[in-house]
Amino acid sequence: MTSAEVAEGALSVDRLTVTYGKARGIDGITLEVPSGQITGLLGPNGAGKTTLLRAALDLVHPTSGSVRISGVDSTDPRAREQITYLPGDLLLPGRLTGWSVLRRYSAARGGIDDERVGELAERLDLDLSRPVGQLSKGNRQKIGLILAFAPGATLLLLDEPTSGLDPLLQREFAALVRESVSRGAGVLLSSHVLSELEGLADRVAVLRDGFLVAVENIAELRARAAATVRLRFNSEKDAVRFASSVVAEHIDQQGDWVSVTFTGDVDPIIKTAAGFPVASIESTAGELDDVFLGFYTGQAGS
Amino acid sequence: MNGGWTFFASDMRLRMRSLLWWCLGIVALVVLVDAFYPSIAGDPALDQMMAELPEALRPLIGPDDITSPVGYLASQLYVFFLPTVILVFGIGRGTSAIAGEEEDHTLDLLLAQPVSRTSLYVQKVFGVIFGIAVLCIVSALPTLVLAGPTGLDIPLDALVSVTVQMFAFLLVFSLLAMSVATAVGRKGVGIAVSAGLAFGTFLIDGLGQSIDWLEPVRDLTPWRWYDATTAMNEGFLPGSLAVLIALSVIVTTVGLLAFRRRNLRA
Repeated sequence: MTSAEVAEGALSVDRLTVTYGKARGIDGITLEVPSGQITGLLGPNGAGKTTLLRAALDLVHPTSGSVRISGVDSTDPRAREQITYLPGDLLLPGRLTGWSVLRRYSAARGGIDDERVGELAERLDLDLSRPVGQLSKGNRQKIGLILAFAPGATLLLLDEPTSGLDPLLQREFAALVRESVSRGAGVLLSSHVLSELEGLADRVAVLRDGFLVAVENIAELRARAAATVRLRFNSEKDAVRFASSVVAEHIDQQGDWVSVTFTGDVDPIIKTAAGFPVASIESTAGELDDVFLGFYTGQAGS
Repeated sequence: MNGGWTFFASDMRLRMRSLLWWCLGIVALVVLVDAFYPSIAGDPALDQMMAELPEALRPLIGPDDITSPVGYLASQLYVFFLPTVILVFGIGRGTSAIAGEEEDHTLDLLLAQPVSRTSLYVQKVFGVIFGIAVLCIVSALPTLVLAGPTGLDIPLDALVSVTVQMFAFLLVFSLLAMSVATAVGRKGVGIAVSAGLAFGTFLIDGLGQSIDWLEPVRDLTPWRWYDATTAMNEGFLPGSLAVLIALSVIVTTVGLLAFRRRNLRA
């Protein structure tokens, strides 16, 4: 658990189990998505990420447990007044224009603010007067972004939203997410790759086979990830001597280069290296991927 | 609930063009059938042919006097042909209303709004009813307008009565199709069940009129309560109408209950 325990969560999932047919969906998940934060939801395909989001929308019903949105139970349609949803593969009726699509999918929340839509469309460089069937996948996804970000919801459920977005659009997406968070919305952002979450999420919840296996603060986790420093010494002899005196998880000496992989503090390594003539030094930050792969395969200790 | 009839209105706009095409098609079809009447009116050879058909098959076609205006319209349009054509629309519209959106992956986005499944379902049901009502009304117009030139001068009561009966009858199988498709989340299942039952019960009703042991089973078929020929000869049939409406209400309610309970497919 992290410092992110807030009294009123944008989304509170309490011992939620969803079983359908033979396939298990999710099993006993308890998770809090606080307002004003981005919570990543990480897991391989089939881990239950989508099921969790769909339970929040009451598209699937809890077999047991509950989901509450700002205190309103997910089975109450009013809960969805607070939510906007962006699926990864957004499919829309092709004959409708962008504007008609936006009206159709916002009508029940009392319409959509035309001015705000125009602003977003301009920012995303999207022509809303064309039938969506004629748009590229990227441009269709922009309509999804408008549906997700225009209403100013207090909870944003974003299901693998950046797959299929070009880098420019991914950056715009990240900016929109940050803006939503800064006005106090809670965001649940799912992905099967950590790199999509890494720069954005404050915390990451990890799902595997329908179970929640970890909820981690990204900054804390990064500190725990194994980092690497590479040092070049003036001679191979110095390199060999350094390699034999330094203490770390993994040491690899080749010629006058030594590469040291470690977790925790870099200080003892630098202190040891100070006893030798160092020609150059470079360092690589820890790979969070490796930490999370541990969760996936069930070998992580935390 | 927010925005009471927004989906009904949105669906109307989405499907208006297709409905217009259907209207044109139905009008063209009825005009063709009507226009053919003068060339067979009062031709005794046709009545003779009917009389020579095997007893068991005759009710499948309609009344015996197929050369009179009522007999002609009943046998050529109302007993089987016209309701079947509009049923194609009704079953298609009913199954695509929710199950079709689920298969197209657009249902999630509708239900991600603050609307209950009940409200969405009811709005979709009224969308189906509206489409069928429009086609039924449109189907009566050519006969009304062409009464003079074609000689199909049947009483207005008869035309209204058979149209109302047909409308109520079409609701049963269209909403059955919608209900089944929505309950399982698959258009194909709704189409198969409803079309299969429509055809099967048509045979039972028709053959039951001349085969004694089938007679009691006729009461279970919506066709028996549709009863186009009687509707044209005797005017309003409130009892039969009530049975058809009750059937529609039952299948629609069952579909709603199943839809509310279900987990929707991603």
